[in-house]
Amino acid sequence: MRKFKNFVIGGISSKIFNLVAGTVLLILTVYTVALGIQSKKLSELVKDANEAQIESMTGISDATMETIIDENLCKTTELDAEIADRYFSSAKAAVLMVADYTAKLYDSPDINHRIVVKTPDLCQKGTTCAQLIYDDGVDPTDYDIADEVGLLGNLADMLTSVYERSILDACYVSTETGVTLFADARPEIKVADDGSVIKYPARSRPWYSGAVEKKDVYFTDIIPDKYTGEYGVVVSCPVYDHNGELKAVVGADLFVDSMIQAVNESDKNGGFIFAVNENGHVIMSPKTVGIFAVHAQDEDVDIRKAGYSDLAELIDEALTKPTGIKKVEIDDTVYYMCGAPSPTVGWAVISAVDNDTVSLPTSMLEKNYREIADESATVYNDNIEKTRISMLLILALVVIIAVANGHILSKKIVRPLNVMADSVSKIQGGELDFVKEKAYYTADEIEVLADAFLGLTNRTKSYINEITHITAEKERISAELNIATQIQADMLPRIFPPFPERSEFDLYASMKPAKEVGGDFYDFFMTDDNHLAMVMADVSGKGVPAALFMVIAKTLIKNRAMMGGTPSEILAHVNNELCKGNESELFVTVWLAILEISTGKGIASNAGHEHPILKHVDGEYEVIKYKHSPAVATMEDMIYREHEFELKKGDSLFVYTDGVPEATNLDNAMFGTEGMLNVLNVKDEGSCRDVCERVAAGVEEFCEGAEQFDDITMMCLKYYG
Amino acid sequence: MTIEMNKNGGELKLSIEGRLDTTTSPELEGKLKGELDGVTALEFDIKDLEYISSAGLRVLLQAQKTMNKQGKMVIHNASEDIMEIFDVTGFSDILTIE
Repeated sequence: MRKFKNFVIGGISSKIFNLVAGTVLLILTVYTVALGIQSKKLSELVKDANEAQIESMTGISDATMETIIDENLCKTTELDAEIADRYFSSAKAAVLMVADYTAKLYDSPDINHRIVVKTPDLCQKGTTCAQLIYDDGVDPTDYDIADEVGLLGNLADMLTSVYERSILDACYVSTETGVTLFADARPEIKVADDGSVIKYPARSRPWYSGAVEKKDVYFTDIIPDKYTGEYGVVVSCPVYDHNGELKAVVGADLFVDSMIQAVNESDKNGGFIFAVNENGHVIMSPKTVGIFAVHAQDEDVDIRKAGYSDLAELIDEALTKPTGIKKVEIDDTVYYMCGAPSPTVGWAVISAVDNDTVSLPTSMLEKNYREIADESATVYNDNIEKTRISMLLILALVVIIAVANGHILSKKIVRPLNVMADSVSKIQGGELDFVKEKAYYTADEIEVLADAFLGLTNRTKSYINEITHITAEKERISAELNIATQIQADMLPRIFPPFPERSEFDLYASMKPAKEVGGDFYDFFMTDDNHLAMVMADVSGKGVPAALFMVIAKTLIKNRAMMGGTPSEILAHVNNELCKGNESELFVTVWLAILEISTGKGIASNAGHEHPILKHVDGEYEVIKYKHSPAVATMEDMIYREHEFELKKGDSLFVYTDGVPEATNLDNAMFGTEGMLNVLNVKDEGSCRDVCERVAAGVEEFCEGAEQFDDITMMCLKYYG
Repeated sequence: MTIEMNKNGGELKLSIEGRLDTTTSPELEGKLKGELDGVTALEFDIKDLEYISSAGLRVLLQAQKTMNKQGKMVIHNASEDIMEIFDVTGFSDILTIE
């Protein structure tokens, strides 16, 4: 585990910390994402709702405006056109009436009186009267003129009356001969400063020529009055006699200043009214420039040919009937227009409102709404942002608290563990005192663990003491056993050659004890000068009892043999001695032979021991089998068989314990008698020592390092005679 | 080594399989120790006994000694190898082998 300061990465504290921090982070992430999505959705919802509301609102507003325009503008226009028409038609009626009367005068000149009408003079200023005015080059004294003037005089009362009772601003009749009879209330303006009467060239005026040309009632465009300069329309009508000869033209002035003023004043709030005659002349308009500016009478201009088809269509329609509301686009400006005809005069009255004006309320409304919506959106977003920030702050606080808690918690949990880990490390180091420190009183598993450790260390301490004690004891026993083994080994004759002065024979013996002290032993001694006693024995069992038993057996055999007697006598004696108090039921197999050196004859007694092996001088080593007697110390009063043998010069005798043939290798196979014979039977066998050592080496080779379970004991005798 | 033991009143029959040597003998000794009280006829079946060492012979000798005091001990079915051991060790003189 790596360490970062006091924090063990990968330790329990880091796991707890990770768990707490991870959980909090997960919750936070989910919460933040959810919050973000929700507020975003809410914002979008509010935005969409606003847009929808604006759309529906502006739609309603536009529709309302169009309705209002349709209803108000169009109706007003129609009304205006109708009023204008009535105005003009009443003038027309008056003019027709006067013309009718004038024609009758001309048709019956003989029956009418001649009435004198005066030329205007300043005395008549402001009074309504008929006035006679001549054109240039007209001679009032000419008879025909004078007679015609007298005839016209019959019209004076009628003209005055028509003027007074009608809406006309002046009413007059001009003859082909250049005489004009006026009726109005402005005689003074027709008198020059020098008192002379200002001539009136009626026949060259547009209203005259127009009527003559049209041969019917004629309306001039708006033209300035000859005397007043006021703008007006002249309604005129030609008068023919019964021969169809043009005699005169009746005219009436209709000053349209008030109308013009009304039209001019209409140009406000993005709307205006204008009038177009049947020639496409703009005759009234508040505009002074651009397409809607008024055209002069003599100007050859038609607004319908200005390149705006919508406008031309509208005007054409408006000259015949009310059009209703129409959209007309003029140079990027969209107008709502409606027109209506004044058929009498042949005009179309058209009202126009530009789109900006129409949609102004809607845009104002939208603008206001947007402002309000934006403001509330800002407030809303501010609040959302504030909420978000405060939420984040709270969450950050939660994180800090959680992290701190996790840290403290993990510290709290891990601290006793660390203390314990230190203590346990010390135990590893050999210090077995585990003290239940204050940190362990946690009232949870840690305290249980600490208690367990305490118990464990206490028990371990007592075990260690016990084991130390036992080990010491064992060591002592082992040492003593080693000593016993040593003593046992020391008891065997180990000086070779044992009888260097005797050339008749060679003798060698060896014992390789097993790990545990065993019971094998061999012995050889001269009972007298001519007799050699040889003993090969194996005490049943192992350990100290067997070793002690071996010592007794060996001593008894030697003692008894030194006293003389045959091997069977010796063994019978030893048997009875050993059987006394032999509670542990140990016994010992013994091969005992006594050789007469001078003759090579010997007597052997085999008490349950291995078969001896004999080699005659020219032969091979062979096992000599004969019936054995029971082992020594089996039962009292046993009788032991005897076996006589004779050694020739050069013969060899080999005796051993079961440790040799029963030596076992790792495969649990035994060396066996065969193995033993194989090792023994070699060409140059050498001395007795060589024989024994070769057998020992053969056993070792066979066993291949397997543990030696039994003592390996052997003895070899070569008889030289 | 496996030992099968069959006790019927004063009769105790044991069959021994495998090797009876230094390491296995204590087991047989332990088994016999508690069981021989009141036994008048002890029988060993050693048909499948492969090998017997001096330690094993000692156990048989102990049993024989005990049975000499309280009844009879017989060994059955000794194989040739085992019989040779009994002969060589002189145990055939002590034990009743049938």
